Amino acid sequence: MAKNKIKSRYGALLLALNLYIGPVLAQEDPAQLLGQAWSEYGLQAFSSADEIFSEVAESSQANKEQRWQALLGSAYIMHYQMPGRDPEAAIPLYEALLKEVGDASEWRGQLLGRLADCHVELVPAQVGKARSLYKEAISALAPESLLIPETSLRLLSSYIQRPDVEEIKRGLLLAEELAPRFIDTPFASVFHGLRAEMAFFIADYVALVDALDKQYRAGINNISVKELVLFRLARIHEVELGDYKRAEQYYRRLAAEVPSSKKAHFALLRADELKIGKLDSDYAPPLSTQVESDMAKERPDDG
Amino acid sequence: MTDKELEEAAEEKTGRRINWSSLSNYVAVIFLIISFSVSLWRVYRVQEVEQAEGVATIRVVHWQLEAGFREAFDDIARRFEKVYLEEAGVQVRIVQNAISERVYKQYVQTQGIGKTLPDLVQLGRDELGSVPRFFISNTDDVQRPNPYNKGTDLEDVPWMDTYLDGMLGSIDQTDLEYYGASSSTASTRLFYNEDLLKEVLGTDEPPTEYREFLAACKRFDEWAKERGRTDLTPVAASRYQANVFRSMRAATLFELMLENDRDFDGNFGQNDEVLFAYAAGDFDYRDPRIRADEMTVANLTRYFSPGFMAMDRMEAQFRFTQGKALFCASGSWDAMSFHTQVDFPMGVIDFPFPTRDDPEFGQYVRGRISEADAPAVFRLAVSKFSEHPDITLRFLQYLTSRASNQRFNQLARWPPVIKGAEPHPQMRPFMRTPEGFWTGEVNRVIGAGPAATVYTQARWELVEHKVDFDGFADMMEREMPRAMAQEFERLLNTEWEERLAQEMSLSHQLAGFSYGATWGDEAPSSERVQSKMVYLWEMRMRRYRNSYRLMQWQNLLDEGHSKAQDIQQYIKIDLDRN
Repeated sequence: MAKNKIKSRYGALLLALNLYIGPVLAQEDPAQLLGQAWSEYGLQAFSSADEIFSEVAESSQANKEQRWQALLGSAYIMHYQMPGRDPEAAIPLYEALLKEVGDASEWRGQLLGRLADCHVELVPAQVGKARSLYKEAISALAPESLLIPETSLRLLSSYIQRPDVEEIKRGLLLAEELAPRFIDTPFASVFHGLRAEMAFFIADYVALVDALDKQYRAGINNISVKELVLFRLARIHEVELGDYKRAEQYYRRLAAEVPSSKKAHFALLRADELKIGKLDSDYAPPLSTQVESDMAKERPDDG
Repeated sequence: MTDKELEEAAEEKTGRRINWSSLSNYVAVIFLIISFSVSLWRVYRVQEVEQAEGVATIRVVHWQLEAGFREAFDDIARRFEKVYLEEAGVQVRIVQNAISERVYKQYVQTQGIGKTLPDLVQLGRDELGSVPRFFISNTDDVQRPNPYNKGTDLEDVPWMDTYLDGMLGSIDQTDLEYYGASSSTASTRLFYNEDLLKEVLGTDEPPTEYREFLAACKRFDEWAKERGRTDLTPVAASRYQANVFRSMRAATLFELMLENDRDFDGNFGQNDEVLFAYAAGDFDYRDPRIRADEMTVANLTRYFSPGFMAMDRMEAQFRFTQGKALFCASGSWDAMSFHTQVDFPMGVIDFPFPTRDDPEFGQYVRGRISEADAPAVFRLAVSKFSEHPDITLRFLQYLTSRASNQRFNQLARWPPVIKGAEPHPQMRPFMRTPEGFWTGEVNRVIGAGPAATVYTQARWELVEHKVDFDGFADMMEREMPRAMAQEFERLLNTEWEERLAQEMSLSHQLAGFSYGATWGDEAPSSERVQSKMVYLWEMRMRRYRNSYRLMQWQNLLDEGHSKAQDIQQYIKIDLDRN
């Protein structure tokens, strides 16, 4: 009887162990699951991504950071999924996670940045609150983190979201302050591109060509963006600034660096015309009337 | 006895009656059995070839049913099988399956979901969003030389740079990776009947200039009428060809575009600048440059067959291939079909567009329209469900090497897409002409909105000669304020939505950047993630223009422009909330 009792106890213990360990062993590696979840997220299969994120968040095998990542994924889905994005509902999710991560700098920076994004996207936008969160995010991040220039771009872009000339001017001033953060980073070109947009919005053509030139020199990935930047530089120098030598240089650069552009042929024709001082193009609208009118504006007392 | 009973009794005396109904049933059953057996035998043979031991079968699916295309593809496939056997010692069998365009999209979707997609699949039928799910990216491969270009000047050139378009058409906008590779390019040209040209116009030389072309059509029309040849028409055309003939327009809008190009990027048309310039009174639809642009085609439609708008594309082409028309316009994809269907010598020329000497439009013409951005076509991508992805990619590289690309396109009579690949002599006129200018849709603010509808209606009235150009301009001027107001509202809304969509893609890259290293097998390369973030930001920068647009709009209203006021009365949304 006693032997039987022992046997049955061992049996029960083994069964319990099996019941406990079995599912644990059957669980997939959380790292693999997170990879799958983010892949589904990238493919915009949000419900399937959310299921996997929840599985990781509840998994006993997941470590602390893997659990945070799963919670962040669920918050991202609430924030960004289309259709059904809801930045307002994502705010408490980010805030709860922010409390959990404590002083972990990259995590804090990431979460504060996304919280700021939510405030920008609310209707009406809470731009002031967003800016202070972006600044907090930047201070939280490690100085060498690439998220610093990325978050700075978001901060800067908050100055061109409202049809307000004064605010855009303040954005341009802020850009001057932020400029050192972008030196030698992959975002330098984008930063100057954003500056160019601001300068264009307020028709500051001197600032515009400066920003476009720096955008070009910092290196542009996208060939169609490069084509636009070089064409704009040529045209603004030619039409607005009357700097025909520079205009010619940019036209030639466009033809040489983006030869597959449909604008390359015109660029070369116009460069050749400018080289011989031909203001009134055979192809583009005449400049002489504009030059005369500009000269008249500069001599208001004449006549 | 009734008549019927008498008849039956007579038949009984003469023997059994022939039951025709039963006989036809037997014939049908026998026919069915034979057909079924033949089908089974064919399926068995195909399976036998595809599943033979030691043979790697690569299945290819596409929708190109044009004459000569499949034969050309087979030729390259057989060559690759030999080459691959020599280089890798592996026997490969490439089997192509051409599916009708009508069901192609559904086929790819269902096979993708069922994870049974063939190895190599033609892309280009609205797969946006599903490409990264069903296909293998070849971003790394396109940055390395194509091994089959060895021994040529392209030997050390990255695969992507061997393309006339730099392989831009292979980038998927969902995840910014390269998928697949194209094999050809496409253009539209003018086909003509050499016999009719000689018989009626007494010349071997087709017209190369716009007025000469119109005069040729006129003379042909008169000749046919004088002889009562009502079956003949100068130009075989339907609504489809009327659109193809838009490629005949010269760059008459070029100056108008540059004059109103407020951001100096050279693009005017289908953007906010159209709204601002129109509202400011800087141009209207009576502009002589717009007249030149529209009348270039409208002058020609006088020589189309009567009722061309009701005709369908194939009907018009049939008329040409039957020798009943002097000219027809179509694309390079139809060239081989035309050549095989006609029993007369056929020529192909570039469109005779108006030149600067044109007495009516010449002062506005700046040159021809550039074909630098002609699309690359027949793009094949390797499916994720391929059992032999490496061999499949290898075949794709073979197909798009300069030598094979030239051979394939010469056999199929399509224009090649690889630098230095020579087309078939008959296809030389189809090769892209990059020199030229560009044009724009100056009649709309967004892609397919109410302004485009207004324009299309007015244009059809014009090309059918129900109204003259003034009538066209009146229609446009009457309807545009309301249409532009609606398009302005949509533009504001679209920019916001597009930015949010990009934000979603960017959030994925941000996650990859911060945590990608912890994703096990799915870990992305940090360099790639970083470059995608920058790329997305480069695109995103121009998605903040709503504030600029609202400031510009307010300025136009404050300055009291009457057209701006006209448009404003139709704006229903609260602009202050945008």
